[in-house]
Amino acid sequence: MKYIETYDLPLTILPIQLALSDPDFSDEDDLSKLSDEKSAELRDNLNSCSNSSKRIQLLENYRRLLLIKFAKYMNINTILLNDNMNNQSSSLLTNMAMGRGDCLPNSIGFIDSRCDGVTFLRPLKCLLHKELSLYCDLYKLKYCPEHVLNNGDSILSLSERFLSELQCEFPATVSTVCRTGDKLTSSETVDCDEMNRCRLCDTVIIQTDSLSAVDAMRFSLSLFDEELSLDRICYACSQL
Amino acid sequence: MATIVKCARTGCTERAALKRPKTGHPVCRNCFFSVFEEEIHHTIMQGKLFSHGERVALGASGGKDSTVLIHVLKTLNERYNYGIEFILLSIDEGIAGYRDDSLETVKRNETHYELPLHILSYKDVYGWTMDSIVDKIGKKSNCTFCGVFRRQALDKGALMLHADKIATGHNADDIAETILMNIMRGDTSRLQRCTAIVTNSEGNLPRVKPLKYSYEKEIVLYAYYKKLDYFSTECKYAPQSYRGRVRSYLKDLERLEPVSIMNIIYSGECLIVDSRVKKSIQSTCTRCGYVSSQAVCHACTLLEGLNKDLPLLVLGKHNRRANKELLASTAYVKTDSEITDFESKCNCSNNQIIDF
Repeated sequence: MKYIETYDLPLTILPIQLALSDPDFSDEDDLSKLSDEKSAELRDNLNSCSNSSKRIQLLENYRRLLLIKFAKYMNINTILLNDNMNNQSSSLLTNMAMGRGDCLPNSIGFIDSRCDGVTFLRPLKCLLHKELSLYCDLYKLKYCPEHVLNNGDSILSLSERFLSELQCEFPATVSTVCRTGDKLTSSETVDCDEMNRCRLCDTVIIQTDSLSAVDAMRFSLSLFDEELSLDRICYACSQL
Repeated sequence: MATIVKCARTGCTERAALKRPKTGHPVCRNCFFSVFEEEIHHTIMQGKLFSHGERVALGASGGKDSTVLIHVLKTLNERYNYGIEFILLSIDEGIAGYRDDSLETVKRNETHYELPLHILSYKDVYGWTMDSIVDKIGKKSNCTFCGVFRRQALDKGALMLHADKIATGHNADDIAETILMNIMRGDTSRLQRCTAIVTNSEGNLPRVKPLKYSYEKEIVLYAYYKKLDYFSTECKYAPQSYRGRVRSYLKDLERLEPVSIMNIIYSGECLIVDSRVKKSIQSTCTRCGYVSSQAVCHACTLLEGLNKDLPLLVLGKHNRRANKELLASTAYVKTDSEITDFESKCNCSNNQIIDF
């Protein structure tokens, strides 16, 4: 925190459990009370996830929700994120494996415009981690290593390891993966049978009757009298 | 005391014999056979893969996927009266100790399922076996040659047999691997096409993948419990391939989260390539007439390289001398995507290559 304070910019720290409610950001007492009340709910939600990959995804969804809530309160319409090329390429593969292909252009692209009124931008997405480290060294910028929730047993850590091993032998791997992601567009520009948005991640939910992986999974579950319901929740978030 | 786990299907009181890799449900053997076959039937009906009276060539390698494909399709054809005539089509790549052994399995399948079998070899079609190709090029890019040649050989064989369609045993793991491969290689054209259950290039026979949503593990279990006759050895050239690394990543993903294979297929189906991205335009090869986005198709170019002792032609972007020689000897023209950073396009004709 002391490194951020050297830039003399207004700083706000919010506990992530505030994403579970509609806090009044102007009332510090209310924030403190809500934070205590919601921490147990947050713990329960995270514990109900069956593995660390889902926990990481859920926390990411809460972080995004909280940023949006605070931005709307502060009348901020643009949020800059610190994602670089390395973590974007790992995120691309992770999102594919978590069933987030439908929101890939938003979740790993330069612009994330899923939420009306608040746009996320990733100005560092074309820079490698190494380049950013060199820049910090050259300009003697102080930073502390990012706190990573990734405990090594998740899809994200597996994807990071896979890409870094490939990158050693094929140095264009990370940039090629990111460039592939840049060539994708979202379904919001395409005509759909029916459109609504996921309540957790704001992704457009496309309902279609034609054969697809969702239809195949729905049928597989129906053979055991189970349902796959995507009512106001996308396919990926329904698994969390 | 061990807990007895019952089959998860409603109305079944049998003891569970296995846990389904795809959904995690414990099932008894008979219910497993039933759900596995019903899922494939659902895929066929929902995807409208076949029409009554069609003649379908089944790609038969003797491996678990094609053996299960043959068994299940024959079963469903009889059970639901699809009205389809099946023929077996096998491609002999000429890999000693691998393909020659698996062909014996295919011949036994021919007898067991009473389906006509036709075998076409690379030697007959191209004049080269995979063993002789690997002797020439070494243990790199083997799958590129084999995949390109096999694809064309299957089409040629199916046309000779007057088939209306080709059905292959590509399973969910294969589709997921292909999606990841195309992302890693930046091949957006293939990325858009590879999730289609029916691939239908003009001039080529349609290809269908009835096992698209069937897990490889479940295919193995089905073949094992049904005591099907199949050959199970990995191609000796496969481990060194790029695809082998992606396969290993996929297997690790499956260990962490079994549903990730279906998730990758779902994600791949959702991907939409921006319309501004340059797409390959389909035409036909000037030499063999096969569908191709280049003037000379990939198979003809690879063959040209082998026959002219330039085997790595087209495979690497740095073979400028090799490309120049080919340019001199054939009418091959590079597309924009193949022009390297060190070359440029002449303003008068975008297809001409200039060396600096």
